[in-house]
Amino acid sequence: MNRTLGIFRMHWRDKFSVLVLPWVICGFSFVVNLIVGAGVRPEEGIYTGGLSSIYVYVFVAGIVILAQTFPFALGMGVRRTDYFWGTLAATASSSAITTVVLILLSEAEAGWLNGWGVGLHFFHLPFVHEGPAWLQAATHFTLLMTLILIGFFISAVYRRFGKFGLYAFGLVALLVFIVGPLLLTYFERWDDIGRWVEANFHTLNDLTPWLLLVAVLLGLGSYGMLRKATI
Amino acid sequence: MSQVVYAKGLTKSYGGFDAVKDVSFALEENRIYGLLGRNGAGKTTIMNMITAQTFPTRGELKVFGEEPFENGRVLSRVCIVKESQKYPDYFSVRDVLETAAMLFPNWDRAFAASLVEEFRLPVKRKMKKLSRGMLSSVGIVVGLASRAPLTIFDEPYLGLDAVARKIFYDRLMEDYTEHPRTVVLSTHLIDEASPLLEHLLVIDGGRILLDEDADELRGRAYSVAGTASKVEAFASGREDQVIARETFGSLASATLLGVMDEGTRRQAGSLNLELASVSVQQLIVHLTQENTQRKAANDR
Repeated sequence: MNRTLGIFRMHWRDKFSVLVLPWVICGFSFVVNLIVGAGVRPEEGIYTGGLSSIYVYVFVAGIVILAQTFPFALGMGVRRTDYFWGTLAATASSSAITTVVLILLSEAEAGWLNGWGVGLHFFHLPFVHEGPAWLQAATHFTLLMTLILIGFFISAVYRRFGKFGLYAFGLVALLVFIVGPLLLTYFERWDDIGRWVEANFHTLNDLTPWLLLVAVLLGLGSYGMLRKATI
Repeated sequence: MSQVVYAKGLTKSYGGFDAVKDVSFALEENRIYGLLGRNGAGKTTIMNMITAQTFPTRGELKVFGEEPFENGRVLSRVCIVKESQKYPDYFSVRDVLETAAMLFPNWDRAFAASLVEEFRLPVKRKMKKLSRGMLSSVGIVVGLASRAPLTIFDEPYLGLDAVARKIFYDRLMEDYTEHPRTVVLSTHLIDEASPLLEHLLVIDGGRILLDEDADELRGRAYSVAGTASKVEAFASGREDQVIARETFGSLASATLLGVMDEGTRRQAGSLNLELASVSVQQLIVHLTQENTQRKAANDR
């Protein structure tokens, strides 16, 4: 059998972690919000970020998947290339399923169910869910893949460069996020950034091309590192 | 006979340390090889290089006549079972076997099922809940049922009891007879495994110490035993051949390198000494110790 397909199916053996667990976590958050909503009933409705649990989950899954399955797959005589594409296909298929469910829930909440009867905005949020359903789907699929690939990339750094490589990577990332804002403050450019964001990003959909670019770069980087990774 | 593995001047360095130093050898098709040596001798590093899980620093390495790195034609024909093999925590025994079935072209489901039965493996149990012995059994099932043209067992039976080890040897021999392939077995239990081994590679300190046919090696040494004075009489004049001496009160034994020929037999017989062959394990222990001592002497 084609080994890329073998890797794809290897990932799908654990259906619970892919199809059930994230929704159990998200569902828990939803139920809590629903109860609060039913109790409080504010006039303007309740807006909550509980949905983000799904996105945090896939980010963590990206780290775990590589750490758990890469040494196993290599031990089974799989090429690193086959591992990469099989894994990418598996994450893309699971992200596609997640996206469809998310969009259905979003449509249901905004349309037929009207805030679950208590004015709860959980699956359909302003800025995050705007425009036609297909556009929302494209956006959320890209966002899910980007987050998985961030996790995947971090794990790949560890596989390729070890513990100290990961420390170094973390340090660099930290410096970028500290020094970057400091420089912006020093040169008084925050207003420009603000204007640029205001002019270009009206909904999450406007971020999608950028996310896509980031995802592709992360994918290429991960692939490059895995090619040279040893056990 | 075609060569399955060909290594020339193979070296692997970690920082300034050479785990494998300038190693050259060839493995031929459809034979059972023993890769023997002490802990840290470089056995696992060599096997990891053959399967492209780690990369040589220098030297040439061909597997089935090709470079193994990212080579599907090579890697799909190789199965390595490592003591240190990692499995996904959330995988059950069945998940591992089903995945192996998808990845190895020659996988035999019926054979795998019968092995699972014999090793009494709980197929539904998660890998991280298995005992050390069960974990080893899973590796052995994968190694045998994959029927890979090159199958490598690296210390496959950590934690396995004698019964399970016997099952492993028996099934390996039976299946090897029916489906010939090249097998590399790396082990510390040399005497136990030596009836299986057709050719031995002994490695020490990252170098090949011995590359020899098992039968030839078995004939390379012998021991004599009897009263101490007679053993001494026999040994005198053969001092350079004596590799070990033991005394128990008035009795003694000596191990000698050399062939047990007619003259030797006659002399031993006239002195009332008992002649015996030396186990492969004893010989290898001797060879590696001698190597260590020589190295220490050189360092001095």
